[in-house]
Amino acid sequence: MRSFRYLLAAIAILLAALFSPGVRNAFALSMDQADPRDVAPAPEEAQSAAAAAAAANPAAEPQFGVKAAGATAADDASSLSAMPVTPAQRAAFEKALNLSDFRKLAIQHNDQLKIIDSWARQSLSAISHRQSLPGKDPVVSALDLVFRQSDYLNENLIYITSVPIREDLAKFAATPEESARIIHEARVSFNFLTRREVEQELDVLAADSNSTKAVGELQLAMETFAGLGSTLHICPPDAAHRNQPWHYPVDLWANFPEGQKANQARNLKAEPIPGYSADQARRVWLAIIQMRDGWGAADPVRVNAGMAQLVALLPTIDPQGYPSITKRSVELWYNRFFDGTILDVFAYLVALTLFLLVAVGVNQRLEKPAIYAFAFALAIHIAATAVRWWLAGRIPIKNEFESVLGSALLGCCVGFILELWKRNGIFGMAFSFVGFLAMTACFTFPYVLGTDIGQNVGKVAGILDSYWLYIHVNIVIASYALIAATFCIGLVYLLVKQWFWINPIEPAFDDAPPADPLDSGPGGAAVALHSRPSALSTQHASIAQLQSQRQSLLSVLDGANIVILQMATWFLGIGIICGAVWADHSWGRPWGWDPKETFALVTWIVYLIIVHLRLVTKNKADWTAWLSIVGFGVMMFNWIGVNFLLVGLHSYA
Amino acid sequence: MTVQTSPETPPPSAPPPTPALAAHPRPKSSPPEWPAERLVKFIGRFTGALGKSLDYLATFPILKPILNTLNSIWVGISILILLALYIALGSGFANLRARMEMTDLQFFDWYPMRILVTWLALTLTVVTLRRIPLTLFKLGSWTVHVGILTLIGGSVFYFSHKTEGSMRLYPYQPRDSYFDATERALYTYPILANGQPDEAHATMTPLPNLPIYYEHLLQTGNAMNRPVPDSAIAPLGRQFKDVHATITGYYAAAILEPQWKVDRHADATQPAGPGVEEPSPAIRLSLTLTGVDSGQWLIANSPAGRVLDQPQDGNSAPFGIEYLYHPTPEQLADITTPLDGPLGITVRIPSKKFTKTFTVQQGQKIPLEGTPYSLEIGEQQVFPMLSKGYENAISNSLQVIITRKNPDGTTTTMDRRVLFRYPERSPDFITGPDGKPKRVQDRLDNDIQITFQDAQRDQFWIVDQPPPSTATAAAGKLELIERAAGGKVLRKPLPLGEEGAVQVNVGAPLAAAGQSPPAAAGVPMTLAVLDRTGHLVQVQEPSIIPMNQRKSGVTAMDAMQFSAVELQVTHGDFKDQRIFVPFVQFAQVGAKDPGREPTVVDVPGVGKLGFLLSTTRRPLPAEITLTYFHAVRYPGATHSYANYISNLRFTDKKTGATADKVAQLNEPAADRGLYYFQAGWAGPDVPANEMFSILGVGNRPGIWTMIVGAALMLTGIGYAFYVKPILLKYKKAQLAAWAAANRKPA
Repeated sequence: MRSFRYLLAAIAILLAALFSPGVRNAFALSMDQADPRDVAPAPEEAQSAAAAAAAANPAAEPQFGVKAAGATAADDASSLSAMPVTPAQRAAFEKALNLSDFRKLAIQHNDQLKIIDSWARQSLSAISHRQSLPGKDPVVSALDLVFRQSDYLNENLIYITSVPIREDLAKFAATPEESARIIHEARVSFNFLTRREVEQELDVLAADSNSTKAVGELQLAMETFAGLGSTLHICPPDAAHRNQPWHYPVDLWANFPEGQKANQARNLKAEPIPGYSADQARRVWLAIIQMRDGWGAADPVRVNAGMAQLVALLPTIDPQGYPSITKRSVELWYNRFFDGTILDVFAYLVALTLFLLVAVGVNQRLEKPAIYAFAFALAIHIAATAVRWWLAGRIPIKNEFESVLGSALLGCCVGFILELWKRNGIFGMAFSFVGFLAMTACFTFPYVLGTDIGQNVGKVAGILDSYWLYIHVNIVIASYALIAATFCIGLVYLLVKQWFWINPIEPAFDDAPPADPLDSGPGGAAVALHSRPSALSTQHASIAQLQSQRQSLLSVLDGANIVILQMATWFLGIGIICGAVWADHSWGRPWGWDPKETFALVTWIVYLIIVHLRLVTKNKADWTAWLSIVGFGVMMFNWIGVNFLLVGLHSYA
Repeated sequence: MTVQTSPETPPPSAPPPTPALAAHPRPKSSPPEWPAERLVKFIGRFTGALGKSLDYLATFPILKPILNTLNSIWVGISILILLALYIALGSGFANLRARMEMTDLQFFDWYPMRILVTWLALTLTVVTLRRIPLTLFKLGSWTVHVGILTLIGGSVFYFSHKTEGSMRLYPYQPRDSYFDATERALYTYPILANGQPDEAHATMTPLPNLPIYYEHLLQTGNAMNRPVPDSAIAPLGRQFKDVHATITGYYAAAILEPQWKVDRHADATQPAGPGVEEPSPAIRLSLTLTGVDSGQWLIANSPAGRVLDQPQDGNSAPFGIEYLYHPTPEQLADITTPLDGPLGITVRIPSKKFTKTFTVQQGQKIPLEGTPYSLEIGEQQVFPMLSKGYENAISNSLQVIITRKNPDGTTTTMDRRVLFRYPERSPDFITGPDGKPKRVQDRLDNDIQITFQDAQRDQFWIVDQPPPSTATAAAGKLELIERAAGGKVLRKPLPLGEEGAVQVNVGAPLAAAGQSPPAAAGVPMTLAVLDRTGHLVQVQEPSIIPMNQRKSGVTAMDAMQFSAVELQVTHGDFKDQRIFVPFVQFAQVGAKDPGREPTVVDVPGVGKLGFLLSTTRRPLPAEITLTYFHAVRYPGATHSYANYISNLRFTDKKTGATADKVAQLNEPAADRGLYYFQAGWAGPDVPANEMFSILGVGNRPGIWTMIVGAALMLTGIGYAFYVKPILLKYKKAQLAAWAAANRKPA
């Protein structure tokens, strides 16, 4: 933790250097053709030089402590926005910003090329578990944190995931109300977290293996907050260095005389970045300065001019290597629709509702609309997956988020074909449920609860670069979708079977039919044969008819369940064996009793038990339905629970 | 067990009675059969005979219950349930395995698992032979069951012949052995005259049953007593033949940490000199206040170690305690002079015989009458100390701007940061010609001495007074000086021991003389000096890592990373106990291949021995050299790696023939029956000359048997689920056509 404090201090110093008035003066002077020798050292330069000198001499104390350095950076940043700006002016300023092109500018962030909009959303998520500050655009939020960081040092932005850590840190709150707020809202300020006693507490918590991970997440959030400006790697390398990392604007100082002087003043030795002329480098930096100054003064004209300058210049450095405007625009829309999840949640919900009404016989005429709705949802699903594949440059099945989406997609494709084949609404119902469940999870966990399940498009571990991944993972996740579908059908089966528990007017299966002549008359059978769907809701239907119709529906449900269950069993078996072959190839042993492996095996055993129970039990369908639910529970534990609760080799799955 | 998939499946023993067949009398000719049907039925005669043999054996009273039990599908289902539960428990509750001192492999190779798997295999065999006739329509069930049996057989063979481990390779340093994945061994080395372990004459003693997860120590009541065989030490040299070693303990997770101990043999009254250590006076403090360590040593000679700073905690106000050993009269005056506020300074100008204490506040200007100096009080700042000897020390400081009128009429201004705890380190700063603050190496003006009294919180000093007479060896008295927040001072004698404990109120203002103490203010604290010594020495002692700081659910190798054994070495009357021998994954010592050095034991009159705990070293069939290692980043990436590639050279031990191969992610290198997997590397920040690659090493006995078994099983499932219904459909149609053809005209 102590080293972490130094890291924060270093980042703060870097930020201070980046946005220092000294450099600003250098530009101002250069624009006025003044003598660069007149550039006066900035106050913080003196301080950092003194700190450096003191650091070089171990006997020289007092040092400027970490807090002091942090405060210096903060004070400096605060001085940038010294001109008082009212909230109304700030709001008007934000409204007047023209971000449409700037948000599509490319940036290299966490080793992945993306657009500024993605950078902003992901950075905010890492800090605050939401994609923007309340009431603000994501890009405005992120730039506000960069350019006016000092204004946010005391804002409760940083999210604490772990409840025990919240409770631990809440005791350092000044008032009981504040303590309660920390526990319930889970957000604290940067300055709160850098208080000495809080840091000491975090040190203690970090040493506890139960909270190490959560403290790590919190530290990452703090690092992201403190170093947000330093992640703006927006300057692409030239064509000759296309596969090299992108550059931070400060790197360009070495390309023009005023920047070189600024480097010299800091004793920084840096080589010019190839591909950038002095004029280009100067314009990039000037644009940054314009944005920074404009932001501080709430002047949209200057900020827009700076952004326009960057938008015009940066894509021209290596036009072939720069992501195309189409790709960047698609990424923007992909972000706006939360990776396509939010739209599909509603599409699948509509399909699910319609199919449910068809399956239980409320209205058969809804079948076609249901299929159309399902097809629409599937089309969105396919499009979202294809876009992600395009953006990531690899098959999108390499983390939890992607495997859930992929699983549901494979399952829904199978379900769509089965539904077109049987046209009974049951397969459609089961698989639209799978799609709805998957999309809801993929929207809720990252975008509502703020849990990172791999929603950000990014690089993956090299071990996953294998053709076995395509085979093993696709088959396993397809089986998971099928298992979810059997869960849905099993659940509906049990609800239909046990409906009389919920609705006492409904007859149970072992209830004797009343001695109503209508029941046994010839008309009764005819009604049962021809009006099964509507009879369920007909008040005049007899108990015998109801029982018969329900029995018929149950048989259809059981048959459908068996069809999917067989596929699930086979697919899961193949997936497990393919995983074993890959493991033998990759890790040196086919079976290592890793929790992911073992709980997949346990899930498979559950389905073997179902298959064999059907041989020896009387109520085959009941057993199947109940065990479908059990199997789904074990599968979900394996898929999600193992990742969070157990330690193993499949952390990415 | 059978796999029956649909209600339409016919009974096992007879073809399905179609409605057409049931409605008509049996035809004279036999029903038609496909060639495949006949072939399978032919083979089925032999399996049927085996099944009948089992049926016959089941008529014997002794075998009947066994064979009938094994013939039960319910029993089979029960075994599956038990297997699922066992696997789920073993995998989901790593702590359960750890409690039993078992790795995951050991747990899943334990006798309950063996019994279940054996039972499953027997049940499968008996059920298949007795219940399922081998026909084309039951071929799926047969294939599945045979596949599972084959897979079980292959797995048993695989895991009983499996060897695996890892090796660390540095470029161009050939290796002909690797280290086992879990089995540990004790390595013993003779230590050469240059202090290096002689690896050529080292011995290795495998320790297969050493615990992994929990301590086995004297202090935990379960000490070990495992003699190290003489074959581990005697071969090191003739002089070692009577040296014996015993493993007396095991640390699952411990590190050596410096601990303070009283050297009872040292004479504190003796001045330091050749053979006599520098006195290190210390007291052991006891505080009864929540959150404060009881029994902490305060060490007079250590700037950081003589201070205990307690931050705000719960209801208690912050306070500080410092141990002052034989303070100077000036020091004593500084801490006992009362103040009228929370900040004070004492200024001494010896040349002017000026000494005065001021209560001050920020921004205050203080002219020092009769001197050329005037002062201005600046801000406070907390400073971590970096100077040698002051490591980990922290002190509050006060900025004092000193202005001096020089004889020539000019003035000099200096910025002095006066440290509260360590005034001797208070530095001066001046503004240089470039406008930057510069620290003056030696103080700019030593004539003016300033000390800073921080009375913003309660400060306690435990003063160790010098003895009244230097002629006596007796120690002086202890005194507690309290300066409460606000500046009032109280002095109390502090007798040694718990009986001498004094009560203080933290956070309460002190009562003025003649006044009663304020009611219900502050938090009561009992302070006692339990022990006092003139010689406190620092020793390296194993410190057990608390359970909540250990990672749970990790692999055995990860769990062992901080393990160690405790050894006892004896030779005649010599006995060296509690020798801490920590674990290292690769027992590779020497300058060219740096690893953790062995723990050295110096046996008087014999020589030095080195001990190292590691995993068992196993020979390789060829010598392996890492010729190149490359960590491949994704294009443009700074920290994401796409691949790790080790270029290896295998050299035949007999012929010297070489072969170059590559091990990389997902592509192991194979050589002479062993496979080498890319498993790890030194990391991105390691210099090129220290770069290494870690390879996993393992064999694959019986892997093809397992693959065939798995393939049979999966094919059988597919057959039973999807092929059989189609075959049945065609069969029904064929039988219906045959029945129609054989039907007598009406």
